[in-house]
Amino acid sequence: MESVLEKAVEVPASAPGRILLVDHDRPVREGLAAKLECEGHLIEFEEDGFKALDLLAAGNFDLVLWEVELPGLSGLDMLKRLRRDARLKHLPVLLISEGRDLDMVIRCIEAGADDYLSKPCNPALLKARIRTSMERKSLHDHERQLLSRFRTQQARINSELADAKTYLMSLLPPPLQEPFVADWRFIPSSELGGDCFGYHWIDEDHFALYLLDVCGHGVGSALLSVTVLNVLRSNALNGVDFRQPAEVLSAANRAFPMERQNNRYFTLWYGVYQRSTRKLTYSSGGHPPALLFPPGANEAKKLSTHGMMVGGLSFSQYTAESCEVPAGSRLFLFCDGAYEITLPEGRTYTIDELAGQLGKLPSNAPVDLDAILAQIRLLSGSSELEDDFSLITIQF
Amino acid sequence: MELTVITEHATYTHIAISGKLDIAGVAEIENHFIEVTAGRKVSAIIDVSGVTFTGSMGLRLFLRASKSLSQEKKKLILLDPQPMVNEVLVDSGIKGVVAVEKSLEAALALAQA
Repeated sequence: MESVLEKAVEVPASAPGRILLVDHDRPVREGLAAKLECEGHLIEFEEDGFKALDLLAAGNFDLVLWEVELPGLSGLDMLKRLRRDARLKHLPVLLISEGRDLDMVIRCIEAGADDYLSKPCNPALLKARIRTSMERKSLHDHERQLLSRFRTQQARINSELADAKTYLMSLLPPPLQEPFVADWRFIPSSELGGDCFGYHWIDEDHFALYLLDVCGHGVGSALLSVTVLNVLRSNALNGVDFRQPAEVLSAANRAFPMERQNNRYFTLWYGVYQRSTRKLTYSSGGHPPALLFPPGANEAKKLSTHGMMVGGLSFSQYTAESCEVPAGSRLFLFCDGAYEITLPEGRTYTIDELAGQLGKLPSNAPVDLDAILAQIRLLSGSSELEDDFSLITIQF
Repeated sequence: MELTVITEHATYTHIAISGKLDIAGVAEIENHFIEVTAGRKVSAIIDVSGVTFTGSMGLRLFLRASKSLSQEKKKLILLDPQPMVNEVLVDSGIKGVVAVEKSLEAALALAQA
């Protein structure tokens, strides 16, 4: 991609420019023009102020020399109009004055004139002030070009991030209604974070559920996240029984060492629900615990095996644990972005507070994920969350 | 984030960090942190009692320094984490490779063991 900064060093040197000379005194105009044309400038004349403004608006001038006491449109009136016009407000203006009304000259400078010269103009002074003003304009024009280029590039990056988000969203599973309700909410952060998740039936009896979070933000994190997601959802780790969570984490740890992933590791919670036995087996690597609420309970069982972040160390060992899932239980699986939010008072919301909030949900109604998300946004004091927000719920 | 070097002893380094170890906080101290921990090739005691939050990039910072020091058979020791930070350390599994101590005496003993 073309670098804005690389271009930034190519500041154009000042060169002769196109100058509009506005003075009602013909001999003065011609005298000044002769001096300036010797410097290579292209000079155009006008003695009527309003016509001069039209010329400036229509033409591509680099500087205007304006007589302060011009009949019809004084230097001050001209400046007021010029500086209100977005196209002309940065045009260098040098005032020329008989020097009889110094207060007027001061007011003109305050109104945005770049400089002024007394008639008759000293050629060396005139040349120096024109050069300085045109160099300033040249720099300003260059800044505007850079800004324009930067905005174009930013728009392209935003567009590509939007494409990446769309692709990421397309990989996420649809909600389920049978044999249990599974649903989720996913709000990627503005820069795109590293969250991904999924669930699928491995066979008729085993249902896999997983959420991963690659450290850091941005496209680099999202690329690794999507790669791992595709591996998990297609059961694509050689020789691994995807019904065994500890095996999955161990194999992922071998397959994605952070030294080969641009120093990125990821956290992963992977569980398998066996329908015939109502047993949930899970393993976690660096990931926040999932929360299981048995029917009627308002306190959660934290499901975590406290394994090492995946890809962090080649020799990490992963274990699995199991629990019964009575009918009517609710499971919540989420990333740290679902609760690590800065509250208006400055402290960080905690997982226990999130668990408390989830425990208050009515047990006789479906889980309202939108209400939970709205509550998190309310707590953060912003609709724009700092990190990806991922929340999956299974209502058994 | 703030990073203060307390001691650069021949056999250990003692520093203190404070603030939020989120993406922005890590970016502020990362190079200096690596320089005074992994860069010195001696065990490092990091007083984290002033750290109010650590996210994934903070854990990555500790892991990076710890992995580098372990190649020299040296240790990275986190001193006196706040309860919430400690919970993140436990959940992340990083306690398997990064030592955590409550007192400076215990940390010094481990660093010089």
